[in-house]
Amino acid sequence: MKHANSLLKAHRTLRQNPKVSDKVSFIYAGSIGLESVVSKINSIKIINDLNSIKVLPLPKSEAYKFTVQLCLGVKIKLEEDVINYLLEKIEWLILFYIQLLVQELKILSREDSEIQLDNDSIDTAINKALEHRSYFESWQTKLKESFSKEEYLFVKEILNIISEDNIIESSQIINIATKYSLDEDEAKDMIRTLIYDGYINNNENAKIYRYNSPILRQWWNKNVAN
Amino acid sequence: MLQTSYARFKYTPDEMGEDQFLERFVVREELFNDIFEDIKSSNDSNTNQHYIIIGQRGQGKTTLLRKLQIEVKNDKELSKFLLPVKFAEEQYQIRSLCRLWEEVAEYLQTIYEDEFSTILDDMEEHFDDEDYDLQCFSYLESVIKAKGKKLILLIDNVDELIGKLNEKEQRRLREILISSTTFRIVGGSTKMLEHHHDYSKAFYEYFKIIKLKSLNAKESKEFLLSIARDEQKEQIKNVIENSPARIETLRRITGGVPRTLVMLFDIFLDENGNAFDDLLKILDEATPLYKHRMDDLPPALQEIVHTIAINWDGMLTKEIVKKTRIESKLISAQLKKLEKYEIVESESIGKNKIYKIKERFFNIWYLMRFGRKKDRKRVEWLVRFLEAWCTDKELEERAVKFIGKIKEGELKPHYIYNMAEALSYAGLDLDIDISLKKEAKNFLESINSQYANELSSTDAEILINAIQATDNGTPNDGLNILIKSDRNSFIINTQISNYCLKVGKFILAEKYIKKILEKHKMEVNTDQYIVYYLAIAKGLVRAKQMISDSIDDVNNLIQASVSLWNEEFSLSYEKFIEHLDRKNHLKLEDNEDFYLTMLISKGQHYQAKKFLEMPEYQLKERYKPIWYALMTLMQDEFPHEIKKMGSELSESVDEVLKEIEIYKEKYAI
Repeated sequence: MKHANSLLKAHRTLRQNPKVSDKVSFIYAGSIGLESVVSKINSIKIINDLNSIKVLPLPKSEAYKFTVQLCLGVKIKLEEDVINYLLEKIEWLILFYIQLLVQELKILSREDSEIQLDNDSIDTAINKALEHRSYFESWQTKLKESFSKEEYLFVKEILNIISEDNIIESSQIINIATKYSLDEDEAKDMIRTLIYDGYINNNENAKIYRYNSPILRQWWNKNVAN
Repeated sequence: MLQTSYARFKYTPDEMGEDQFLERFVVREELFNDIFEDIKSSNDSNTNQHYIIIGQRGQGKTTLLRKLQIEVKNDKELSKFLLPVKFAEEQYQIRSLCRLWEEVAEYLQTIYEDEFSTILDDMEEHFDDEDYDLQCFSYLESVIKAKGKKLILLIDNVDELIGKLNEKEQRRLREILISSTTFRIVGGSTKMLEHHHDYSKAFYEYFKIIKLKSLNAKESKEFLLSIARDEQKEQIKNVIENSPARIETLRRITGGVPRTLVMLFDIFLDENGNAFDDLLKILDEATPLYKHRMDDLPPALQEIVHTIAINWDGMLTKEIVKKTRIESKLISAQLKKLEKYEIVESESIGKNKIYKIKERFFNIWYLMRFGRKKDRKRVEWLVRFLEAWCTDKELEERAVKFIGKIKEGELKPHYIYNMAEALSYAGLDLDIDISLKKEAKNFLESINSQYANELSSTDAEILINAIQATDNGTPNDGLNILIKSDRNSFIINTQISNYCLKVGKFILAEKYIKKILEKHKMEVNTDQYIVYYLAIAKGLVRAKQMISDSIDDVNNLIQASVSLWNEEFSLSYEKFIEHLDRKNHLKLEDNEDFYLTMLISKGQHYQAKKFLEMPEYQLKERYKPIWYALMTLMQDEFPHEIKKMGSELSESVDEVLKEIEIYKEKYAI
């Protein structure tokens, strides 16, 4: 924590040194929200000069165009309704998943040059993608790294439950928190981190949480929960 | 002031003047029309349809028969050939079929003297004939036919008459019913007795059965209006328009039986106790019948009937099981029998059935005869009626007038006793209650009436007992005394709700707070209001607001419960711990079962486990059923804990589990 603090301070000094800032722009990128980590060590004021930019998933129309371009690149052909099916299945339209599935589809067509890629092929591609542990494992490891043991066990159980039941209610979250001796505020903080880092959302109903990505849900259910 | 009330005629509609009678025949018109139309449209070629009108005592069988008698007589066409013959209600003298025909002949000779001046005498000439038994009907029929007439026999208690005939006679009567076009029988019967006459069941097939059902809400209103004297009509109209619930209560108490309805209504209007005398008279008359009804039942059924009758209100099967200690497997078969005998009736409430005595009048009779002394149930029917029909103020005015009448020495002891008890149970001002009981006791003692010792305690005495019990024990002891007393006055209801709040019985408190607000129309304090909202699971926002606006500290357990309801878990836990600490400190006796049950219903299993297991509060020991209900829900994780449960707990645990399910919906936000 001490190191983290001094690192943050050092960066701030650099950013605010006119000699540096005239020539250098600092851009930090990360999938774990920097703000939530920093606020935990009570150092949020050290980064209050940073402007945060959220990289959101693509809107449907852009995702469509992106998929078409990717397909051209790898020389496979997908009908319009098959692309729509693909995007529906991905639901949370971040570039990574689209790329991952297009890559799996390319492998399918390479294995069978006669293949007509259809909805079934999409399902097969998803199952194949889920077999690559390395693509997803970071979702789990980064939680292990950034939370204490009890906290990790708490979020893991929450994510396990959602992967099984599709949703979890906020009162259920509080119940699990008690199990790990976390109080309501601590639990809420951790849930906020999960939301911020793209695991889950409560967009439709403030009291109900679900995965952003059905693909991550399936992977978690297969590889972590069971 | 003497009143000419309808009461005089409620048992014997036949004695009422014809015009008055017709004017008051406002219900059952459709049934009457059905029968009357059939009579009018009959012709010579077909045999007649015979009828039996079946209904409980007081449902209006005799009235319907009289209506037929009058209308037939008044109908221009019918009266030319159709002669109504209506016997008195009891026909002890008719013991054989021949006697029936002789009675008919005698009736004709007396009533229709001009046409049948010698009919009985003619028949008597054949008395000594060997085949008189077979021939007496033919003699009668031939005379009637010769005059071009037909008869309509209106026979009350026709089942009793049929029951007296031997098998041969029954067969003969059946023949006559099938073949003769001269006679039509319209009988009345209380179906209650049908099971005594299984052998005559086949008979009923020759009759069309008309069942008199209980009056519905609309009919009850029309009926009450029709029986009211002119000066009362406005008052009743007013009640019907402004407080229809009162009529409905009256209907429920009486089971919608017209006679019982009139009777109660009369007792209410008549302040001199005359109507009450009438009631006792009719109860006395009914005694042999009702006693017979009870004596005919096997002991197990008697016990069940006794249990249900003493309770007055409907009972769930499990409540009957608990009271009678008859196995629940056996009970349902027994209850089915009692339903078949039409002694009890059931009403389905969700999956459960509620059983009550079908004939409410029988229930009143039972309670007045066998109700425990100094028990509210003995006068429950009257209490209910007074509660429904009087505001607190009206009750008190009535009581004050009543005290005056006692002093004047005008009233009879049974009326004094019953009315004093009913008024007192319905809830009076503390002082009025004291002087009512005092005057009643003094008077009853002065005439050496046994009722003097049967008067129950005053509200004041009960309150003092409760306060002393609380001082020597806990608020729960005081609470038990008050609840057992079955009183309903403002002061007792307030004290009960206070004790409930003190010991955390929120759900129970609601009933009494509701009475304070709705019945007594009095204000309650903040704690009581909040508990009221909590118990009915409505008004969460308002409850929250009241807590934050309150100048005085709202009870911690109440606050914890409201926060839990609102799913502010941390706040709720904080308040709950404060409550437990305070309680430990002051050595109070509280009930946390409501809170713990709601906690589990909110899915907070781990927190509930944590609270229950905290050694300093010993909740796990106190709330074993809640603990095992929780362990049932958590058995995947703690499979061994549930095995420690004693089998005697399983029923209570199931109840907690059911409650949890109910709370899940009730307290969802």
